[in-house]
Amino acid sequence: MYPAAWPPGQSTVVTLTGNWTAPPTPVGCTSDSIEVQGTTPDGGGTLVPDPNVTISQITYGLAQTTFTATVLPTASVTKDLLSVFCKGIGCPSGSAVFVNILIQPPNPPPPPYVPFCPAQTVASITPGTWTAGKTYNITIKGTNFLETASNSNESCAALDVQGNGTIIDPMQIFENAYGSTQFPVNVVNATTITATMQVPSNAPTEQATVWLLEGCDPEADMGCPDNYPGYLTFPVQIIGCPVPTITSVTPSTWFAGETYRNVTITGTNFITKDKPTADCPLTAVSIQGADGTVVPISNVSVDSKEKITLTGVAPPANTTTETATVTVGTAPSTATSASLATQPQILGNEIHCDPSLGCTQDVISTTDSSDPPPQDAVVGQKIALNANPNLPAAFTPIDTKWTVDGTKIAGYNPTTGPTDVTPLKPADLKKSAITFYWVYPNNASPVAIPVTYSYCVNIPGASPVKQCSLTAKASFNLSGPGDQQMTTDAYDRLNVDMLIDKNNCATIQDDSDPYLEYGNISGFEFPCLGTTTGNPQGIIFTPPPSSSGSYSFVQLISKDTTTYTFGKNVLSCPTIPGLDDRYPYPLAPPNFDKTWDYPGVKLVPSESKVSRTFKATMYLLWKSSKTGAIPVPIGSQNWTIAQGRTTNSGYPTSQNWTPPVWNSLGENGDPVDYVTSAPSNPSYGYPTWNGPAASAPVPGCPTDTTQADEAQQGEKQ
Amino acid sequence: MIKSIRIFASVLLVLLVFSGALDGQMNPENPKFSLTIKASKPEVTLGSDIDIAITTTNLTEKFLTFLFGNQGNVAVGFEYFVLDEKSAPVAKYGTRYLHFPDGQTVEYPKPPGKSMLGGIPPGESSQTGSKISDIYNFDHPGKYTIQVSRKEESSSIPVYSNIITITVLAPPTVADAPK
Repeated sequence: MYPAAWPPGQSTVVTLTGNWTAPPTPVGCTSDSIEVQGTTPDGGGTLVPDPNVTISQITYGLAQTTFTATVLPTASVTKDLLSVFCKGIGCPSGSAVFVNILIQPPNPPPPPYVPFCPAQTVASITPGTWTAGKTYNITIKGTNFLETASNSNESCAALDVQGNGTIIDPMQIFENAYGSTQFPVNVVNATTITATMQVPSNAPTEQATVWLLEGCDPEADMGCPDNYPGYLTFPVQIIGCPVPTITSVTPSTWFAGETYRNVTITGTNFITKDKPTADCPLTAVSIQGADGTVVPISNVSVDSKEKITLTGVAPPANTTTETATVTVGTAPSTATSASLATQPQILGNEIHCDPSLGCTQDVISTTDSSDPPPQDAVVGQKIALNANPNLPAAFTPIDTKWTVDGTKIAGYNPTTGPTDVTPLKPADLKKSAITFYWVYPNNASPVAIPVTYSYCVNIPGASPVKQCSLTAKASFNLSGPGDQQMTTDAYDRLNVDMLIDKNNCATIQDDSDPYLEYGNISGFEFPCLGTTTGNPQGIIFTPPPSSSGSYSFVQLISKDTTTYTFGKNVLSCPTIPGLDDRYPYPLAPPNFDKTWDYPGVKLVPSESKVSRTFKATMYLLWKSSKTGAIPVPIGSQNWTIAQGRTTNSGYPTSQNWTPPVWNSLGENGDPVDYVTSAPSNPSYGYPTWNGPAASAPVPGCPTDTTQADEAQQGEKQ
Repeated sequence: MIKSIRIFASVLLVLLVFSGALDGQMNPENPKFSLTIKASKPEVTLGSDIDIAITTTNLTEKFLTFLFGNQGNVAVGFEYFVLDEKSAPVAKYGTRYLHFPDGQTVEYPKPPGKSMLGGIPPGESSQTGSKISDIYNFDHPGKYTIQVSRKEESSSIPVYSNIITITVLAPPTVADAPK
């Protein structure tokens, strides 16, 4: 039998199955009966028909019998006994069947689904066509857009947009769905949602989908019924503009301060002036340096889908060397940044300082109207600069040009051989690196000394092809040892001094030999060490004090003629002008703070008269203590022994020399014609020579006696 | 000086026998200065001048004092060592005489010059030159080696220079002479 539980207040169709005999009724029975009897007081008492249950609509069958059991709504929950039996006196025993039944409500059925948000629909989205790069206030019409679900505070509406299955900025959409202020969605009422939607500028033309998230969140803990869609969708049409690309920019090298009148951009999907639409306007071009420098363009001509011509591309004059980016897009503010096959560079012009100079910075130049940072330098210091245009390998600078104000030279390398100043040659001024030395400080003016560099290159495609850089300017404050000069103290006469003979520089001989000397000299004959000490020694030159460098001397002999008279015969021996002794002229011990000269000539009995004329110039040089510095001229002093002479009355067998006479130097014996070196002097004031001053090759004139004397002395032994 | 040259020649001979090379004189272990010579021309014709440049470099941080000066065309303060290709010392000129047309004969007069003490600053160099052909008689073609030495004023230890070789060429024959 089923069901075996009958709910109160309901009529339950009950089916009985089994080996049923009726009809016909069993013998002795008048009829069949189906009754329900209580088993508890709530069911009317034991074996008492339950008053709460009515049996009706009995349909008998052999295999199955059905009837309707109606239970009063007020029936209590109880257990009854259903009996099916024969009615009549003659009914056979055991003809009743008893079945327990329950009077109780059935198992409660599943409650009907009550969504947190009612079912929603989307009827329309306005506008339904969106253009790439634009922002829209859209209105979504539909039903049951509730702001808050019935069982939570969550929004029932959310907006999501996908194009071709790709979620556009899903996080933003997600945030929007849950109240982000970045992307406002406003559920106006149950039938209207408004939102703001920005279509990406690079969105292609396609059909996109607006996704509306229903109030039931499939991921929420409460869950959703099976097959609950979760989303409503509605299509919109995206109209995208062609995305341009750039394949080349010609020329791709631009120089600061120049204007290029024919720059060509090639690529794809350019929108020409014949094809613009309201949504896809004429292709625009912008150029910006890496440091944000905007490169002005006078005119942009989109000649075709594949070619753009720019005129008046003018990188600012103060642009440094950097990489610029050309941007081609539908609008400058949201331009498509194309990747360049050739990245144009804006080239500057810079003067770099060699680290040895100790400049304040590596780049010491400017190319605009501003003053470059002045650098400190000292005369004679090695100035090493280089220009670094950083040109691509394909470009070779032409017409490179340095300008250097002030008195400058390329070098001065004194030796005993030919020595002269090496000037800066035009070729030196055309190299990318330059090394030079200033000779004189800029005492005449406090203005820093300028140095400039400029160059040009040929650039195919540029107009004109030859493009020149701006001039890079640097400046130097030059200093020197100050307004200093040497002092000169000259002895006022010649003497015949007796110098002690030395035998082979080892044994002092008893005798002495006379010398015609400038000064008052005593000691040993040369060439022995310790020879010729005296006071005063001829002429003494003393340099000024110096704290940042050192002074040195160079003496040049311009004339030195000694004339020997042997009775009636005379031999005049001149000297080829040149460097006196060595470079530099030695400083005298013990303090090495001065130098001197006391030229002399040995006298012998066979000479009846010896005379000498000597003209020399002592130069004072100063060299900075800076690494690699060269000496610079400070001043020079001419001095002369004119017609000095002595006569031997003991000729030809002995020596009895008269006190020498001469034409004395200048005033009070001191020379007066000191010359302060100046740029206008020959060789900028530097001493120059062809070689050592040397005895002229006149037959009979001595060139050396040192070894001969020693040989003689050796023979004496 | 002659004695010095003999000793020098003996040393050279020993060096040649045992090493087969001319290494020159030994310098002090830590010399205060260096001496470098260089010929103005590595090859000269017989009878031509032979000039050498001598550079003295102070290797200390103090002034060094030397004898400076010159007599005629020869720098004083140096010793010169000149050997021919057989390692034989080259002879110096002896006393030379001047003969006047009237028959008067006198010794060559003494050339003017000077000899003075002077200093070379720390780290600096001093360069001078000598016309060594005014001292030594390069009287035949061949290869000659030249070395010089000098002493600091306050020292008895000489420092020797590098050795250079000068080739003296025979003068052109009449057949070779310019026509």
